[in-house]
This record gives sequence, C-alpha cells and structure tokens, in this order.
Amino acid sequence: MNFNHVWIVFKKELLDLRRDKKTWIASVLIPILMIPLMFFLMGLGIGRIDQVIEEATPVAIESKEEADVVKFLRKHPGFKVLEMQDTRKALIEGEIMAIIVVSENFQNNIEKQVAGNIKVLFDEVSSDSRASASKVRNIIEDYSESVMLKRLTALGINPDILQPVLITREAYIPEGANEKGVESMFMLSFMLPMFLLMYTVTGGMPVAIDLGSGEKERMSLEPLLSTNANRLSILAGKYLTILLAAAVGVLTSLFGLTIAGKVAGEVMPLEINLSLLQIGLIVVVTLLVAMIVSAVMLSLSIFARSYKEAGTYLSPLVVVIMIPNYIVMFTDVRTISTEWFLVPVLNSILLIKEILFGIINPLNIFITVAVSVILVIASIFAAKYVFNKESIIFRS
Amino acid sequence: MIEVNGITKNFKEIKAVDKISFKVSNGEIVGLLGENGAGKTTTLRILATMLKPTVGSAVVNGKDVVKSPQNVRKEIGVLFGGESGIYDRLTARENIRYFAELNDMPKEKINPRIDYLSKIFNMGEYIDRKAGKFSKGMKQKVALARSIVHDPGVMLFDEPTSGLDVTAAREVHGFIKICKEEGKTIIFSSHSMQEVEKLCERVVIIHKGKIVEDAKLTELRDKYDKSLEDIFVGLVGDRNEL
Repeated sequence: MNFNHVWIVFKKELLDLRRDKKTWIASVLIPILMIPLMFFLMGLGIGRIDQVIEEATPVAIESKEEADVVKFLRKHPGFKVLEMQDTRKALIEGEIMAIIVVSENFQNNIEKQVAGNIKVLFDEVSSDSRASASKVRNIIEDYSESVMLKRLTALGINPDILQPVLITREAYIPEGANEKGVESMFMLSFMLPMFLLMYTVTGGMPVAIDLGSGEKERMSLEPLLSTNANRLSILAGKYLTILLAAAVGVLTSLFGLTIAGKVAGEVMPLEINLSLLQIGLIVVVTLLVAMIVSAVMLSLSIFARSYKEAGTYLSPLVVVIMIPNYIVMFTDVRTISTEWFLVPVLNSILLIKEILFGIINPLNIFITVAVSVILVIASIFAAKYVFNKESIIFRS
Repeated sequence: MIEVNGITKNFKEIKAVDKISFKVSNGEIVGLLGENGAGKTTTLRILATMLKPTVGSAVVNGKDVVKSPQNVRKEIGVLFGGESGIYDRLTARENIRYFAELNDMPKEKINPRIDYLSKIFNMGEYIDRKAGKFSKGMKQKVALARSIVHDPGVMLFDEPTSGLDVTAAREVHGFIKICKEEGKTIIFSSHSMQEVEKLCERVVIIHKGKIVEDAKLTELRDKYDKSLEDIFVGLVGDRNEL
C-alpha cells in the first residue's frame, strides 16, 4: 500500500464530498435538525397528556338517581360534567373524554354496605380518553376510600389497622451523584447506543454508495484502476472517507441529542457527568463499530452495479444495526453474563450501557474490543477481496 | 512496444478473446477494429492490467501485465469511450490533477502540463469550472487529458471520439497525430473506418474474440483492392454467415 496514494484518494474524496449538498443534508443537517425536533414533538405529546389530566375533564354521568357519588363527581374540580342525549356519540366524537355509568340503587347499596358498581367507558382509540379514564378511576377510588374511612370511624376502628406495613420505595443514588443525573443516565442508556450505531450507518451510507457503485455508474472506476495507484491504496482512501463520514454522522447526532436536551429537557434530560475515561471508551467502541460498518458498506457498494442497487443492499443495514439495540434494550447490565460480550455489535451496545452507568469491567472491555478488532480486520479483508475480484468490478 | 502472446480470456462459459497475438512497435498507431462484443475492450482491459488473461501473456515496454501490473500502469495512458467517467463536482483542472498525482507526477510539473493540455484541447475557457455542466465533448476532452497527463509512452484509446461532435473529434485526432510525432505507441479502438484510415498505419481486425486480419493499411488495400469498410464487412460478414 502506498500511503501517498491513499492520501491523494482521501483528499480528493473529501473535496468531492465537501461539494456534495446531498451528503451534507443527510449526514449533518438532518441529524442536527431532526433529533431535537423529534424530542421536541415527543415533549409536546407528553405535555398534552399532562394537560388533559390537569385540566377539568369533560365527562358525562349516567345515573338514575342523584347519589352521593354523583354529587361528589359534579363538584370535583377535575371534571366538567356535561349533560347530553347521546353520550356514546359524544364520546366517539371527542366531545367528552369518559362516561361514568352509575349502577341502579347505588346509593341504597352504599347505605346497606353492599358494593355499588360504577363503570367508566372510554374511547380506546383516543389517548386523551385513555388518560382521562385513569383520572376518573383514581378520583372514584379516592371517593371509595373516603366512604371506607367513614364506615371504620363509625365502627370505632382506627383506619390504620388496615395498613399494618408502610412501604417506601426509593432509588439508591450513589454518593456524589445527583438524582437528575441518574435519571438522565437511564434515559441515555436507551438512546445513546441506538443513536451512535444508527448514525454510523446513516452517516456513511450516502458516501459509501457514491464511492463504490457511484464510481462504476459514472464509469470512473476503470480510469482510476489504470493509474499508478494500486487497488489497496485506492480502497484504503475510499474506506477512510466513509469512516470519516460515519464519524461525522455520529458527532452530528450527538450534537443533535445535546440540542434535544436543551429544547426538550423533560423528555431527554441530559444532566450527565461523564469522566474522560468513560468518554474515551465510548468513542473507541463506537469507532470500532463504525470501522466494521464502513467496510461492510463499501463492500456492498462495490458489489452493486448501480446507485439504485447499492441503495437496495445498504438500506436494510439501518434496520440490521437496530436489531441488537432492541435485543438488549431492557437488559440489566449489572447482572448480564460475560458471554454476551462475545456477540459482535451487541457487545458494543452493552459496553456503552455499562460505561454510562459507571461500570468499568476490564474483561468485558477486552472481549468487546478484541471481537470488534477481529471483525474490523475481517470486514476490511472482505472489502479488499471484493475490490480485487474482476467478476465483481466488471459485473454488468 | 506492446506484445500480445496467445491471450485467451474466459468469463465463465463465454470466451471473450481467443488465443490472440499481435505486436505494436514503438511509435506505431494500430487500429483495433471489431463489432460490439468482438473482444476489443477486453483486450485493452488486459493490457491496462484491469483483467488477468485466462491463458497467455502480454508485455508492455518489457513489463508483463500479470507479473508486474503496477510497472505496466506507469507506462500507459488509458481512455475508455462511452461515458467519460469525470467527477462532476470537481473542476476540469482538479479532475486532471487527481490523475496526475495518482500517476506520481512531480508536483511542480503538474500545473504546466495541465496548462499545456488545456491549450492543445482548447479547454482554457472551462478548465477551472466544475465538470457537472460540461457537454459530452467537453467531458471527453477532460477525460483524454486526464489519461495522458503523465505523458505515458503507450496509449490505449477505446473509442475516444464516441459521441463527440465533428469539431471535438477533430481536436482528438489532432492530438493523436501530435502523439504520433512524439513517438508514442498507440492502440486505437474504433467503430469508425474513416477514423482508423485517417490515423492508423496498421489495423488488427478482431471478430468473436479472434484476430481475422492483422496488416498494414497499404497491404490490405493491395490484397483486397477495396475500401477498409468493405474489407471489414467482407471479413466479419463472411464469418457471421459461417
């Protein structure tokens, strides 16, 4: 390999890339704009549900008598009880969020100390209606509890007798860590591996397509192969360009995530404090995945006959890289066994999660790095094989 | 000097070239004639070290295309016809410079050489403009300049005037004549009999992977007493009927 040729190819590809608006949009602009926008919209959705719960919810009551519970509900500030003929239609059309159906003889049953039935009807399609049904249920449970307290008091029984044990559930926050930071880290352990891996693919993909099948389609590969540069040098220059694009994709996605923390802090709290060691390890792990992904994308792109074909081969990689993310999304990194770290890509996700939680396990780090390095070498050799194969280069 | 010795190239069950042999002396321009799919491009690709022959060998200026491909590539300039393979987002100068650098030209010689080629091919107006909006003729001239920027001794041109207008084609012809005067060895593949008659001293006619004629133009005219086109159609047509 001639490093001067590698540099010439790399330099040219960078110049070409710098002038390619499509790549800038896909690798830089979209992550920076889309990620904050996505979290902002999620925040709006969550805010809306909170608003539904906080505001007086429009409901209808169906009751043949003016029972105490009905009076209680009418007076409750959490409800706006509306009178209407066709309550079902009003529910489906979103005029009311729930129908509270009070059974016959409810008041009589309560007085006789027999359970009275209340049914809460809600629209399953509407998230507002679902949230409102929960609110109605909680308020009716409060009423039920107040009736129970009155009964116990009337019998001269201390209500505390029904609750012999009081349980307090509290997350342990290690010394020096703040509560918000731990919460942020938990959120980040879901989001960060997903974003890091996804953007190694989406950041490098347009470049990989252009540098492999693009050369074939514009017929520039043959002149390039007839120069003094050997194939390995040309391949290395292209590979480094894709790797750089993938790294830029990852960096811009992280930048987007940081902006998301600012504009939608309630959804993506980012009050985190990572040490240099943690950041360094995450960078190394992500870089190794980017190296594997870049070589795989370059191989597939060289194999393809055209841009279109390369797009068909490369697009599924976004889904493929997400699969390990879903597999370990709810995996407990404190109890997971070491064997999991032998699985390529999946090990990188687990390691990033571990590192985020401050778990620095040298064995897991070693296994992950070793497996990834082996895969990097294998994928680069695969790309070299593909680029040297006549039947692939001149495949038509 | 180019020597092709009994080269065969198989693509699975297809025999693209079949035991072909010919020589091109230093300073000679040889026309490689043949129909589409006759094996011209495969022959040129083997000489350009992009394909390895299944059987046989080829030597360019004393260097074997299989044993020392990189040394062969130092000796040659290659231009494949059809699409010119120019990078649209680079200027004409940047396109040419890229190839000059990959062919290890000394830095101080690159710009004067590009300026010289720009003058030869009348590219002065657009040499520093991005190639994306160039006409086919403009692109082909850039591709031609790119292929010979390092001043190789051997040039392999596969239909270099394909798709060019008359003026652009004449400029290419003019350049090939200059190369001839400079003593370059050239293989010139073309469909155009007129072009070959105008530029070449000798022709190699290839049909279905085999050489069916290899002679000087004057010898062919004496032998057949016909125009080159009639000779070509006669040779190829006769064999198509077989």
